[in-house]
This record gives sequence, structure tokens and C-alpha cells, in this order.
Amino acid sequence: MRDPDSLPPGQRAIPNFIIYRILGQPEVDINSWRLRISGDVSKPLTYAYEDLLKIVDTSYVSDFHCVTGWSVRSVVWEGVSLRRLAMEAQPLKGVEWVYVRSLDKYTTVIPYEDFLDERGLLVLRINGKPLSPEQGFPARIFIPHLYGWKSAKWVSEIFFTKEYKDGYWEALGYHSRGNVWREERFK
Amino acid sequence: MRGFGPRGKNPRDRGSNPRPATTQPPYLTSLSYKEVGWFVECWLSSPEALAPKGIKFIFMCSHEPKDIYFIEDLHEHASLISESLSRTLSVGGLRVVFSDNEVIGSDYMLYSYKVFHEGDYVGTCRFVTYCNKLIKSLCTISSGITFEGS
Repeated sequence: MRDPDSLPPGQRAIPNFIIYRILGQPEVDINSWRLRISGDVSKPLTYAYEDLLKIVDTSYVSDFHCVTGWSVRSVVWEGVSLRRLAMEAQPLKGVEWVYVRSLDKYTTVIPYEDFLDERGLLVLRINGKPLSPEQGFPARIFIPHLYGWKSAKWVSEIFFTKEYKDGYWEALGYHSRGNVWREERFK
Repeated sequence: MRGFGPRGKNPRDRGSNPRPATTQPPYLTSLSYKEVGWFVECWLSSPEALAPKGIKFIFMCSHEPKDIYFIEDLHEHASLISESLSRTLSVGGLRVVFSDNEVIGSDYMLYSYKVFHEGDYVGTCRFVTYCNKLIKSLCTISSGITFEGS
């Protein structure tokens, strides 16, 4: 049984987030921004920011773990359950991967099984405040047991698929899943 | 609103390692060779996901783990990989120069080399070690680079 206060292997706690913007800081027009849910689904969906604010259903405290080795403890995350979004879109039988695209053209891939984790979240608020531009406003992914590169910021599309395709960091050799407790840093 | 305690069920209990249906990207070419008694297999590909960063090619190599206790050992390996890359791209005279290294977690290290062609920066090679064993080599070549005669 794991000590509830333990950090995953190879991680150390630091006071605050280090901000990465590997493809730059995208400009967001919140009036025209939409989250699209598409791919191998029965019901493709589109949400405006206001639509998502109305269906916020989840809040919890969890640590954030960056693959480079730092962690930020006890962050308050608030948003819409990824499982709920998936169930509304009704992914087709055989879907195994979820490809996430962001406004800055960043991409990452998440195993469908992990996407459906009960704590998987489309985050709209961190520590009681709306996401800052640097933290991915208007929406970012967060799945507590996956490394931070799976927590795509500035999300614009969630694409369900049966076929695996590398995202940005996966193409550079990083793991297809990235479970922090299994230390899945590289393929 | 649904809420959770600080930590939910143990995510380490999650099932087996996910296995992508296509474990390697579509590759333009592949090669395998033995150099200094050591097996290396490399793939050249053009991942769509890296286009926004201006990366045209990825040259990824898998190999048997190799002890790296001295940076000189890695320099030798980096030169071998760049020679393979040169052959694969049909470009002569690629040169790698050590740039920097960083720790990933506590056991992994990432060593970066800049790749030059006739004095121009054209990409980066990265080498991953785990507990001082080299486990992965990967080079990126930028878009917009034209190699004369290639």
C-alpha cells in the first residue's frame, strides 16, 4: 500500500509550476473558441466556453507531476469530467486512443482507458481561479496519474480514434501512456 | 458537484502497458547495422505532430543498453549516429557538437548535441540514458533545410 503522501518515483516537490510553452503562447478569442469532440464517435459535439462552465461537475485536490522530475503538491482542480464528455459523444466500439489537439498545434495521445479514469478532467479552474493564459486558458486536460505532457493546455479538440498516432512528445520518444507511478517516461 | 479526496484509487493497479497498434512511425527507410559489436536499429520518419515546431525528420534509434560512464563514450556514439543519419539522408558532412545535458526524474538523463551541416545548424540529436546506460538515440532535422545534392 502506497503512502498517501508519497511522490511517484524520481519526482521532487517544488513550490510552483514551471511554465512550458513549447510552441509559444496562443492568443485566445473566447467568443470564437470552441471545444470540438470528434473522431470515432456517434455524436460529434461542440462546446463554447459558457457551455462548459454550466456543466462543471468535479473538483478535487491532486499533485501535478512533470516528466522532467518536478511535482507541485496539493493543487485544486475544477472542471468537467472527461468521462462525462466521452459518454456524451459516445465513442464507437474499438476506440483505444484519444488524440488531443491544442490551439498552438500541440498534440498528445492518451490511452482511452486512462482518459476514462474517474479523475480525468477538462480543467477550467485551478486553485479557485479560472486558468491563466500560461496555464492553458480556456481549458486544459488533467489526469492525475499521467505525466504533465498529457495535460495539454489550450485544448481545442478531443479526437477519439482506433488508430495510434504519436503526439508531439511521443514523436520525440516519450511514452504512449506516461503513468507516473510506473515511471513511464520514455517508450 | 463530484469531489474526490486528495488521492483516489491506486493508479498503479491499472492494466497492462498500452501497446500502440503501430509501434513505429511510418518510416521512409530503415537500417540496422552492427558497429563496434553493438546492434543499432534506426528509423527515419516525418511525424506530423512535430511540423508546428519546424521539424521535418526524426531519426530514431533503438539499441541494446550501453554503459555511458564518460561523456567521451557518448561523443563516439553521437558521431556514429550522425554518420548513419548522413548515409540515410544521403548528405555528407553532418557534424555533431555536444550542447548540454539535463536530468529527467532521478535516473534518466538527456544529452543534447547540435547537428551542423557545412557550419549551419540543421537539427539536434538527443541521447537518453537510464542509470548511466544509453537506451535511446533520436535526432531531429529542421524543415526548410536543403542539402545540396541530396
